[in-house]
Amino acid sequence: MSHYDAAAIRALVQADRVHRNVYVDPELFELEMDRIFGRAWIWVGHESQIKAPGDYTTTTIGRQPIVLSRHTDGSIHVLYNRCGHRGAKVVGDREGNAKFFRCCYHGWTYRTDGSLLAVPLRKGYDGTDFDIKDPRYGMLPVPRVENYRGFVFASLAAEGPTLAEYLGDARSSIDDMVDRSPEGALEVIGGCFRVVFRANWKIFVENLNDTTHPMVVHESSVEAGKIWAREHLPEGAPDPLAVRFTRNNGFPYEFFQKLTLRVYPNGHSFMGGIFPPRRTDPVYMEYVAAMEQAYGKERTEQILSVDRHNTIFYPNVSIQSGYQQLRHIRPLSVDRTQMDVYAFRLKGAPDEFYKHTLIYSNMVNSPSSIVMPDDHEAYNRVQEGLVAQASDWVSLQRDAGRDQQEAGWTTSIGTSELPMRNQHHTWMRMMAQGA
Amino acid sequence: MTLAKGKAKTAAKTELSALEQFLYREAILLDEKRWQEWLALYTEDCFYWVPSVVGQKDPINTVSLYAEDRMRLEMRVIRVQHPHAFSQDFPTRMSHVVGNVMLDPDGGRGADGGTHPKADLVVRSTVHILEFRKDEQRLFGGTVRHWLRRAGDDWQIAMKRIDLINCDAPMEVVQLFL
Repeated sequence: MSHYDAAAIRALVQADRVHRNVYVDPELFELEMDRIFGRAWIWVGHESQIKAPGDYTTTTIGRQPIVLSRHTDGSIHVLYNRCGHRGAKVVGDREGNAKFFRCCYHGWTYRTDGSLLAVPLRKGYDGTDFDIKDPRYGMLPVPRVENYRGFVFASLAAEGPTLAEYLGDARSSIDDMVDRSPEGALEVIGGCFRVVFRANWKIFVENLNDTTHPMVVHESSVEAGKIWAREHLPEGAPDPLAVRFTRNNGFPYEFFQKLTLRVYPNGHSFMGGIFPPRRTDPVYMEYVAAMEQAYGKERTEQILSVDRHNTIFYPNVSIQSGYQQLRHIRPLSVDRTQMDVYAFRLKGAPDEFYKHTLIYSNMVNSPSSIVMPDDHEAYNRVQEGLVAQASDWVSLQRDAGRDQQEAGWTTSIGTSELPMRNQHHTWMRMMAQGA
Repeated sequence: MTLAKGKAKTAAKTELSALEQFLYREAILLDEKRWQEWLALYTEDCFYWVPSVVGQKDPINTVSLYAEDRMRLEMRVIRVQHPHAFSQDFPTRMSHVVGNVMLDPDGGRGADGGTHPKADLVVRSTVHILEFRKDEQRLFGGTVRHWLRRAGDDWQIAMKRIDLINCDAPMEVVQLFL
């Protein structure tokens, strides 16, 4: 029996502060797995991960083991990774290609759409209610799957808003990422960074649109960029990308204050860009030329005038559309989280331009990133600090009450804690529902 | 055995033992955080590569844990020494053990990821790295290849590739060099 009825849940999240239990109580984590990860639209993969019939990849929705597969007819399936017989996890590796899935335990075999193909000793089931055509004995599909421009989302809830309703205009960040390809398509590149930190998943989600940590947390890498440039570049020379990816985090508060911060219903949000491309960069201009060839000048201008840093699709995925990065947030326990990071190639873009994506991956998202260790140190220390009984409350007060309501979204100055308040409001609503 | 052959064998032995000493020296510079001396082992056009998947073919079509040119190695060295590198408030400690040193029988063929480093020889070794920070230690291990270029009577590292057996494991951040 839960200690948390609807009133108790609502008491944890106030207009501009959050109770520390939201981050540290294992009981709330269990409830999140049911009420948030069990209901929301959860990103499960990109269609380019499973290009050919028989391709599959494995993931989790909350803690549910999941297979994403491409069937012989080209259709995409999101299946529970569980044998219909005695329950073994059928697919044991991370990814691959298969004609069919065969359980390692008693050899039940499934088509790549999850339907049961064969079981040994069929006669032994005569007279029981077993039926090879009964979907209950297959690898069961999750209730709902939707694909938006290659991004595959699934929901464990049979009922609920459509993906379009759930994401609303936040989907425009997916458009932003895909439209940047001269062919209008993304392709995942090989390898995946799997980075673990010792903090609650929500601490990371909050940080994605937190604009007042970079100049503090990242001081060491900001200085590394600045010092390197001072020692090696002539005065006024353009920064190499590696320097900009570190140094720009040190921009003053005034810069971040002027950034766009836009939040949506259901916890989503994005912030304006901090690494705008330079029109003096010949590699970028070569890319612009490829875009103009594909879309014409006007449409290209329209596409490239968008500059967004991290967009959050609450609760489990974030994209950086300008440098084609995706971070998949996988809660492991109340105080442990894994993020799987993928990078994408813009199909049709010049190879030299694609190297910018690689540099971003390497410097920002690799476990051996020059930037990220200080973020993770901060997350881990928040988790350790919140154990303290000194106060029950976490402050999210900055610029509270100064938001601008617009049609379909809310905006604020760039340094507001609006995105966090918005996430926790969504958290409270979902957690209280059915409590 | 002819005299000439014997001499060649002795020379090869002497060279291998000097190469071993070179790799041990790099390991000690890393363990003792003598960063400037460590950087000095690398050429201006060096490439430091730690693949993210087993048998990775190149650093272009697959992401890498490290794919660093000299600029980025230098930036990292500045960072880890910075007094406000909070994640080094409790500094990471490392201990490298280098073994199985041999001239790479394949001469590094197929392992350079298409980067074609200018090198005189390729040395292959095995490394075990014990890392400690705060309350915990962890282990890394794998195969290392050094593409070495002669520099007077010493060598410089034109490229280093480290294939960790746990390169694709979920891991917490890695701050120092392998």
